[in-house]
Amino acid sequence: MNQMNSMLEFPSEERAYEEFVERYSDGLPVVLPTPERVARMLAGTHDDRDDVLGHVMPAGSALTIRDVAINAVMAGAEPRQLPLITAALEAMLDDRFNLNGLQSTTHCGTPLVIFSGALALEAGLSAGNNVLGNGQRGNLSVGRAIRLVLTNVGGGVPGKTDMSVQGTPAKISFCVAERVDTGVWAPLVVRQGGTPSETSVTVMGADAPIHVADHRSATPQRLLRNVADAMRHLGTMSATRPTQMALLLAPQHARIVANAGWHAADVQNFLFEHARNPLWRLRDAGEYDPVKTPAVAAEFGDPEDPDTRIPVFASPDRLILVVTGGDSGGFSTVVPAWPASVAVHRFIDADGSYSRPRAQREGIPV
Amino acid sequence: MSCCMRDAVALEGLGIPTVILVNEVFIPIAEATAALLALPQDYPNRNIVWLPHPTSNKTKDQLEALVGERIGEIRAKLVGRADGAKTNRAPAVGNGDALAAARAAVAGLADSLRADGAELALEDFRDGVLSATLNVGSVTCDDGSCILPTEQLERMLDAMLRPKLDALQAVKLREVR
Amino acid sequence: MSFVVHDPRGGRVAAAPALAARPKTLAGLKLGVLDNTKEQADILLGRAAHLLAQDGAQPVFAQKPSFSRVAPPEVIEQLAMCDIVITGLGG
Repeated sequence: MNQMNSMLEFPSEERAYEEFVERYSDGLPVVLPTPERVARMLAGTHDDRDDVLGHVMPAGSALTIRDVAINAVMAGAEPRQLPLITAALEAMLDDRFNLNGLQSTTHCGTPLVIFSGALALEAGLSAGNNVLGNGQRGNLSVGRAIRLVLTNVGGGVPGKTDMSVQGTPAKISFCVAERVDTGVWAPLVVRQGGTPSETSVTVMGADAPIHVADHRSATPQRLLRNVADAMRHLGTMSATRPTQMALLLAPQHARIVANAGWHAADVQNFLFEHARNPLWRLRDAGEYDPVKTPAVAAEFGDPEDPDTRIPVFASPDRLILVVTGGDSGGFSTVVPAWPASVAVHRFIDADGSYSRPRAQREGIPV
Repeated sequence: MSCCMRDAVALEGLGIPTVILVNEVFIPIAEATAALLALPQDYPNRNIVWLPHPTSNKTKDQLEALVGERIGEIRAKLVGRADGAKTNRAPAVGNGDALAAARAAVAGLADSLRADGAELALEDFRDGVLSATLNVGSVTCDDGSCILPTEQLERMLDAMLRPKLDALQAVKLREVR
Repeated sequence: MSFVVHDPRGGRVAAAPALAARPKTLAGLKLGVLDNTKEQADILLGRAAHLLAQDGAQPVFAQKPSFSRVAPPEVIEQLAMCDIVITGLGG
């Protein structure tokens, strides 16, 4: 195998494939990034393919749009998805996201990528039945493309730099789009300050997802108390280090809440009050720290009082609330945080081009 | 130190000569970072100017004097006459007690870490696996506040020791309080 | 028969990073001073900048928010407009 500039030469396609699956894949088959395929993928962007988006840690290698396209081909993504993949990666390169830490932690942490807006759905992402599962070609390809960049360019390789003890299936791909047709309340992109014709990508350093089953509750309070119960489980790092958290709310659940006249902010406020653990319970928690946890408690009450209740996310607006999934049942998903990272979002132009930094407005932590 | 070097690599890559002024206690970290980033061997010598340790207890006047004594070297490294002092490389290790050899090889790095409040100890070298602990007191790495995440330090130890210890297969570093 | 594909590893495959070409003189050059905010960095770098200014360099001061992270892109962009840079940290 020779190296010519940034091309790799192999004696045959078979040998190329073996090398790529062994060294540059997530363990699953990849599509070889031939010059023709990469050129077709780059037709999906208006940007200069040599534009450097940043340096992906821990290896610190420079990431160009061409590099994104190469890994997007490998993941099986389509050219119309390239602006989405690029926007998500650019958000992760924000210093606050702490990609360096997320790539090397022993925790199962991995990025959760949420798209909100029509462009994502037009580009082939899905927001309906089984949105987090198999068969979601767009979601899986986009999530996988992002992940391959983190591994191949960023050097976050399991066993070498990625020290995750158990990992999670979400490390293959963890990408959803929001339902924009339920009418329950404004989609995330609008609540983030965008317009209805825009699309946003939000990236969050995530723990493994927690499923919440509820077919009994007919009021927002009863439903959200069950959601709060899942959110405050002691095995998460969020329990002792509140930052942000994501709630992927099923449309059926969202309708229960909206039919009672509640809006997104009401959900955030209610969960901020109820998804809390008292200090006495946290003292037995696996991540309790005798110095840091009381310091956190002091932000929410008296650190000497064992009944002081610590929320699992730092303020109501730090709950990233997204309506997604099919209409056929009451199953939602809570995604706690990997707390050494701050969630970041970016807006993507309505015409699908992704031009940095001219057309984007910087997202503040959600 | 490691981040300073990455900044310098980024700037040099943009065509901008960059010189780093740093306390010599960080020499081992500079060498380890150079190994990790696959920099040419003499990279740290060509654009780093070392200041004698310690610096934290010096007055402003003393620090300014240290800089003044080295301004010729700073100037030379900015305009390309690289005649600065060489880094101290730990001697190559032969056969013998492998754990003692490993300890000797990382003594400089351990001193650097101690300067930042962390204690590195090599505990055991068995079946090709070197076990080490890093006592970091109240600093944790997962919240991004520490200077060198444990996982990165583990890779540095691997990169430093592999050329010197034939039997080394893996380094396992554990953080303790 | 050979089969050619793009390398997926990004910037890592560039040749080992080379040092930038050095100028012949400091006179008239914009000197970026990157303070990494570790203790005493400002004193050390300030003194160096002062002395180099006597050779004709023109100091431009920049600071990065955290010594334990690499400089953010906007700081690198700012420094990229200089001709030479000094940076550092204390002990």
